Amino acid sequence: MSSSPDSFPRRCDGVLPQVYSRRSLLKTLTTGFGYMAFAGLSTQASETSQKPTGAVDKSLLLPRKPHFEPRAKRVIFLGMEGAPSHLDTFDYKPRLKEVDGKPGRDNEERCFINSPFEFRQHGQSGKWVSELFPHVAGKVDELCFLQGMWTNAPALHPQAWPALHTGSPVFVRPSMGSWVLYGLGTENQNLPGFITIKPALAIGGGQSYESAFLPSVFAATRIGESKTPIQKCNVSNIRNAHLTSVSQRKQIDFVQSLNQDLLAKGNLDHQVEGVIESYELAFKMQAEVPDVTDISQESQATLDLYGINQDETDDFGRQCLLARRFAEAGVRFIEVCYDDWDHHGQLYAGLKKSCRAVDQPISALLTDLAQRGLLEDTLVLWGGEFGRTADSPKPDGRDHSTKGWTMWMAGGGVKKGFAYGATDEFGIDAIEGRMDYHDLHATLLHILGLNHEKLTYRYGGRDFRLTDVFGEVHHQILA
Amino acid sequence: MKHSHLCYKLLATLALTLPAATWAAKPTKIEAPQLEFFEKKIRPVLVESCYSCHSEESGKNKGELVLDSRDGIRAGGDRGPAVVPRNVDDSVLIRAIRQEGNLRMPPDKHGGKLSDEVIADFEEWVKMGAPDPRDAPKVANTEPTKPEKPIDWNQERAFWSFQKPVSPALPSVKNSRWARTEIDRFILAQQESKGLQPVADAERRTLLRRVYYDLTGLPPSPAEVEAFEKDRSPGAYERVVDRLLASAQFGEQWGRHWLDVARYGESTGLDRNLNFPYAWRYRDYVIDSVNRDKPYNRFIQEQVAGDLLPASTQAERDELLVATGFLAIGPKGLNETRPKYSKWQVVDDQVDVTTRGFLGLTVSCARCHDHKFDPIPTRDYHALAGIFASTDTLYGTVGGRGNRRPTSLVSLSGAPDLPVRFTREPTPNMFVNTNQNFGATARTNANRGTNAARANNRRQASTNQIERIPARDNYAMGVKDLDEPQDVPVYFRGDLRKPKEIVPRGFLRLIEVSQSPSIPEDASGRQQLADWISSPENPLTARVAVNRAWQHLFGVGLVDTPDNLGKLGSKPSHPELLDYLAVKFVTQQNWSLKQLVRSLVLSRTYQLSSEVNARALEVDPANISLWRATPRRLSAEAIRDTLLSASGRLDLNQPELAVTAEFGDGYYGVNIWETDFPEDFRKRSVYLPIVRDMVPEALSLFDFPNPNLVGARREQTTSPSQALFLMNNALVQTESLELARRLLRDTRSSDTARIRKAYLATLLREPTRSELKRARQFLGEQRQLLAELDQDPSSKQPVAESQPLAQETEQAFAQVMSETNAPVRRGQPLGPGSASATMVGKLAPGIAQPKVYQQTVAEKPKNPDEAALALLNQALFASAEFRYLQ
Repeated sequence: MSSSPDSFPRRCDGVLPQVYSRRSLLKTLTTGFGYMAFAGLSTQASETSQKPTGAVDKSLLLPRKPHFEPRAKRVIFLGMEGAPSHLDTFDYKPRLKEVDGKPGRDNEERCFINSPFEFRQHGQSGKWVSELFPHVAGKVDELCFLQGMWTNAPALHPQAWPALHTGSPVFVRPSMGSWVLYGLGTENQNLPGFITIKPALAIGGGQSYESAFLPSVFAATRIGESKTPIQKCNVSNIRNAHLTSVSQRKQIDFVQSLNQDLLAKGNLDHQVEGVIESYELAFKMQAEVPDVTDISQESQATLDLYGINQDETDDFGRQCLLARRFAEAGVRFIEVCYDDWDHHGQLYAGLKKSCRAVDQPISALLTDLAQRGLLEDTLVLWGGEFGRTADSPKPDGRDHSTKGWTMWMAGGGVKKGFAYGATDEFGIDAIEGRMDYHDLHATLLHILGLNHEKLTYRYGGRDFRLTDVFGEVHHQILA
Repeated sequence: MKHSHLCYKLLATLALTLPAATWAAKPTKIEAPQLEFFEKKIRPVLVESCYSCHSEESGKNKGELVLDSRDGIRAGGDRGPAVVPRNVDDSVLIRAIRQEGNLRMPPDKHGGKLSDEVIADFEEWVKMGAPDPRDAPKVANTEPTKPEKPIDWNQERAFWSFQKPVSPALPSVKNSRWARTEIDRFILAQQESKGLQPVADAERRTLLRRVYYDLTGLPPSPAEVEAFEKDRSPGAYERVVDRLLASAQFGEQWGRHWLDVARYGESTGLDRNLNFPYAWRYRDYVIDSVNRDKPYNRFIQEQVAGDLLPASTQAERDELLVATGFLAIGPKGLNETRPKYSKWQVVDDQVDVTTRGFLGLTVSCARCHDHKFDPIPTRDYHALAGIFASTDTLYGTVGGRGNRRPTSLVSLSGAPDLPVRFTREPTPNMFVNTNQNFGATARTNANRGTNAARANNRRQASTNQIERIPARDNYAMGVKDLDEPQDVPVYFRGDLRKPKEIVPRGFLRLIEVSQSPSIPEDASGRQQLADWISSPENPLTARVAVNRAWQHLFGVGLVDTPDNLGKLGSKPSHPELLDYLAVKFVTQQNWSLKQLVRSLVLSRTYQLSSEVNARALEVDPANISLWRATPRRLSAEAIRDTLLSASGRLDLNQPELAVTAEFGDGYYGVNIWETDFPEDFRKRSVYLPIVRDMVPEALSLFDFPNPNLVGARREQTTSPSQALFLMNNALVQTESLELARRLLRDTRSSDTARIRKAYLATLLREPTRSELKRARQFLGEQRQLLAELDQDPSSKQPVAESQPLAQETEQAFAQVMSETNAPVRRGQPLGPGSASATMVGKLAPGIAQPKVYQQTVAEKPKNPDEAALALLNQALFASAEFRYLQ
């Protein structure tokens, strides 16, 4: 039987994923069980088998070489679901002051609204940032602002939020985290390779973290959801309520003895090996996940830095600290979500509250990553699915706008203290450095050393890409 | 049927610019006087008074309403369809221009209330069925597409799968004594040509386990194993097979195979995840059809065109209507503002599921351009799409905030027609309503988990937004033909703003069947499409069907890309066998799935052992020539069902409804929470709620397919998350404990006897002597450890308490969902050190306990005997031997 292009996962450059002979791996690896996660074991593995044992592992989560030298090894995406107003945060438009209260440019029934917040210049770069982000303002010389974001996705959260992650507002497609994991594998086999912390579930369902047609090992491991306090969230099945670890270890040993017996029979060679290793890895994961998520090991100074134990910043501070700990532990793609940005009304109070919740934790994350030498090979991405209007039917609110908004990046070999692209004088249309989701994805993959046109997966008779048939790498933002 | 003058004119104009062969568009069936009425009395008013705020051309769609297209006016906006043909009172447009309610159109600045005469014209127009010729002229204004690349059809049809299968001569074999059936001769012939020979037959116990799981998804009972081992009479195996084929569980197992292909799901998924409370009727229809062994060609016809088939009884009528749920249950983005886009999302889904599902062709690749590999021009895609564009898809849901596209449902047994449901008339300021009512409801962070808050949410939601009425009434999801079927234009690169030439409704030119049914002008063409697909002459349909059955029984299909038999698909490993099976399926087995399955499992090839043979491994390591049985992993459903059946707690009764039916209409993550899933659901996994993007963890961890996607083949991954599930999940713990209790009921029994029973209950075999010894030792050690822990709980930290993130509470949606099966015995005391106990202690009095926290922890065993035996059972469930069919 020929190979099965419909399901056999591979990168189209033909390099990946590496297909190892189990036996050769056993010989070469001294760490024992660090090479796990097998996909398509039975049906597909058999027919691509080269080895006399019939044993082939696709080892899909093993770290893999990118297409070219990467600038960053991992991603932390600070996803701001609900679309934060660019006009009140990072895209200063003094013209709005002049037209405040006058009929909108595109719609006479609406009025222009000046930002109620003060803007000041910060850092060497002199970047204008509003008073809402005092901590992040202190970091502007580290940041690379993408001020010409736009999209032709509908200006609606449930379509745009998945599209920001998958490239498609309509079709079910893998999330960018799944693509990255598929392309690169992950460094720490004792932890999941793609973790999403408190994702927003009602908006686009699981599309922001699911693997769609990519094998399910590439889906995110989810920790909680946006409405549950982080301290009540955990990875599924990561603990046993009744067993001591001594008892459980004995139990696993017993399971493994059964598995070894079966292995000795020789009929289900690689399948049994897969199962054996999955238990060893699970046991390690069970120990390591709680260890990584145990922030009590952090110093008081660090907790204070993130604003942990202060009411307003506690929850998001913990999420950011977890993100740093996961990054440090070798997780490939980490997404953190804050989902309270949809300020059609109560713009003033609402934005103040939301910005206060995230400002200090974000700044702390950047500081912390930098101090640990992690920022240089971690790409931090901040932003929402679209921006907000310069005009509004109400004096204290802004509606959705997909025509222009701001995101920013930090670390990962992007320019520092740099603002790329711009919107027009009113902050409505992106007019320079225009970047849509596909461009963002192409650039993100490029930073990770992946060619977005070559990172493909064949499904349903077609090679799919994160960027579909679009996407342009914006080299202008690379340092 | 008369054609309008206008259309004739257009035809004449266009005919000059188009190659004659491609032009066969039919005008819509609007009578001339009706057309004249529209052109004289309706269109000018719409243009003058409405388009400035409600048209694609003006770019304004206030209230999400556009009136400059037929689709737009029918679909309507926030308040529902602007025009409901022949129903003046339900037409929002009429209400608005009468200016009776709070919606008064046109507004004063656009001229104010229309004259009584004009209003009467509109009422008259709606009464006559709102004939509306628009869309057609728009199309006609566009350029024709560039001429299609000429296709040499004869050459294209020479590809193996596009040729009609012909029954091949039976191959001759040397070892003719080995071959028990004709299938075996094909298999053996290939082996002999490679110098291979089959391994020995499987042991009876192994074979029985295999055939039970394959046919029913459940294991045999230890008694059935014993009986089969003893019954050496001729025909013993055949009798088992026949019994299993006749069991209700066969339909559940093989029905689920079809539900994978049919991308069965009980919610919309995509943007706003709305419940489909009536989807289960289709699920039950599929299971029932398989159990009744409905011929596969008939099964196709019913799903594609059941509503158009004759029925002799009301029950049969209902069944046929439910069958068309196949076309309605796909994922839907109902937050889409543009009616046309919304409609085409449904059409594309229907083209995809119909072609990939039945034909194994990726026709939807040709939506934007000619198929890159298969001879499927984009014109042919649009010919098929026209059939579905002429179909009204009825999936229900209640409109309101976030759902702009509700539809009616199909009425069963004479139930009154259901209006399209909008529960809320939008207030003049949608905005206030949104943020302060709905928004607040949806986004109240602090109280979300509590029952009180949820009840409150529901109250608000119900007054404001969504009815949550259990779907017990006589409605179903399905389709019907539109009154005015329409051919559609080719949309250039799939862009709905760029219509090109109109394509007559039709099928793929690639596949010709004699007496190819032609589509009448006044029908969608689904019935003809169904006939074309299910024609014995269609070269793909039977091949696709038998190939999938083969895959489910042998692990890998004869074509290992079961949803793609086109040029990018794999070549068949045994082309003659595939054709033999396909021809036999149609001509001798009368499209009977049961006969097909029976013939496959009675082959000697199916009954082979999975033992390896060094030489064969060398020559054919992938076992393509099937010299042994390929080991396969149990499906997600089989794993969960076996856990429940081993403990004796599986409820084999089909549920009356579905879990999602009890929820009624609503939004996941807004007014339906994972915590609403039942706690102690012990029916078979095929009946678990299949909510898109919220598939229960017990299923999704073990490669249950994404219900958004069409696909006959599941992955078979092995992952640490599966290991964690089997180590720590409450369902696994609970059923292991329940099995332990069952084994301990016989108080005179010894450890040895119980271990033997545990092995039989889980692995269907006796332990070896060495295993018995190890198991006894295991029980002893665990009892001792547990006893120590009981005496001095502080001496050993339960694993749980070393988990800072989860010290007090366990959470996570997926977890809850997977553990809906794990009963929480509320009346019973919680053990020391259990997470729940800690949690309960910390909750303030009077605050309702959120379900989510209680649910995730399995009951603690009462004593070390129970506990140790439960751990042994769990270990057996966790073993590779349990997970694989050998």
